[in-house]
Amino acid sequence: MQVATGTVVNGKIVLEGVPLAEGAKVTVVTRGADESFSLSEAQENALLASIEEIERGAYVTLEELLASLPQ
Amino acid sequence: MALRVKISARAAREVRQAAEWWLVNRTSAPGAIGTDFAESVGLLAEQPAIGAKYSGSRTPGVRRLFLSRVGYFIYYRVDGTELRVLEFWRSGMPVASISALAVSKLPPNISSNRNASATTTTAMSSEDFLFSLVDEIQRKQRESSFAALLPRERIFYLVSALEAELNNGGFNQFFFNSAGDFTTESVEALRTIGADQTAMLLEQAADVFRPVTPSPNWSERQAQVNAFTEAQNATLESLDRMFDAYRDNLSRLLANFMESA
Repeated sequence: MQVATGTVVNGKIVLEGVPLAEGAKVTVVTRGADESFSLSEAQENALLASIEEIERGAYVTLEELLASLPQ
Repeated sequence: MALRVKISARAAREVRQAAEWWLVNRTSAPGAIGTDFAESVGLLAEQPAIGAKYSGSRTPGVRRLFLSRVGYFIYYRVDGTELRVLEFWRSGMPVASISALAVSKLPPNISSNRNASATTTTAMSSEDFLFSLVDEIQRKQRESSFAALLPRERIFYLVSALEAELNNGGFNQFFFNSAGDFTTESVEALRTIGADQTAMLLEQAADVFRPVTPSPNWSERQAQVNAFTEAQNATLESLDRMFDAYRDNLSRLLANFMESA
C-alpha cells in the first residue's frame, strides 16, 4: 500500500509524481485532519468505556475481528 | 512503521452487527462493512492523523474517519504505538437521541443509577435495546417506504436524521443528503415535539432556495445545492451557527414525545 496526496480539480483527483499501475484499486480519503467535531456527553461516556475496555484487555486485533465476521 | 491495532470489544460487536445486517440487506455489496473497515483501519495504522479531531477535553486525542460507502464513522485514538479503535457508529442516528431515550425508558431505579455515571453496563444494554428500535424503524423505512412508518416512527426518523445531519455538516449537508427529501415533513415533526427554534431555523434555511423550494427529489435538490451562490452558502452557515449557539434539546424533546405518543 502506498499513500499519496492529490488535489481535486474540476471534480477529478490530480496526483503529481505518483506512478500508479493501470487497474490499481485506490481508496480516496478526504483530509479531515484540519476539521474538528464535538460529542455529546453520552458519546463521550461511551468512548471512555471503550478506552477502559481496551486498557483492561477486552479487545481484539483486526485479524481476529475480520475472521469473526459473517461470510 | 504501522501502528499495532486494538479494537475494543464494544467496537468489535458494533462492526459484527453492522456486517450481519449488511450481508442480509445489501446484496450488491454484502461484504462492504468488513472490506471498508479493514482497509480504513489499515490506512489509519499508517496515517493516523487523517481523521477529524475531537474538539472537547473529556476524551483527548480521539479522532474519527467517515466511511462514506457504508455510512459509518470509525472513532479511534493513538496511544503510544497502538491504534485503538473505540467505536463504530452510524452517521444517521445520533447516539445522543438514543441515550436520551434509554434514560427515559429505563425503570426509575436504573435511570437514577445511570445518572450517577457508574452504570455503564446497564446503560449500554438499554442502548442496545434502543438501537434495535432504531434498526426496526430504519428497516421499515428502507424496505417499504417512509409512508409505511407509523406517525410516531416518522417523527423519530425525521428528527433523528435532521439532528445527525446538522451535527455533522449543517443545513447544507441536510439538503444535500437524502434527509432533505422530507424538508416540509421535518419542519412539522420539529413543531410536533416542541422544537420550535429548530423548526424556525429549518424554514429559514429552506428560504435560501427562493424563488423555488427545496426539491423533494434527491438528485434535483443536489443540483440546487451545488448551484448555490456564496451568499446562499453564507446564509446557511449563519443558520448553522445559530443552531449551535441556541439549540433545542432535540434528544430530550424526542424522548418526551416518544414517551407520550
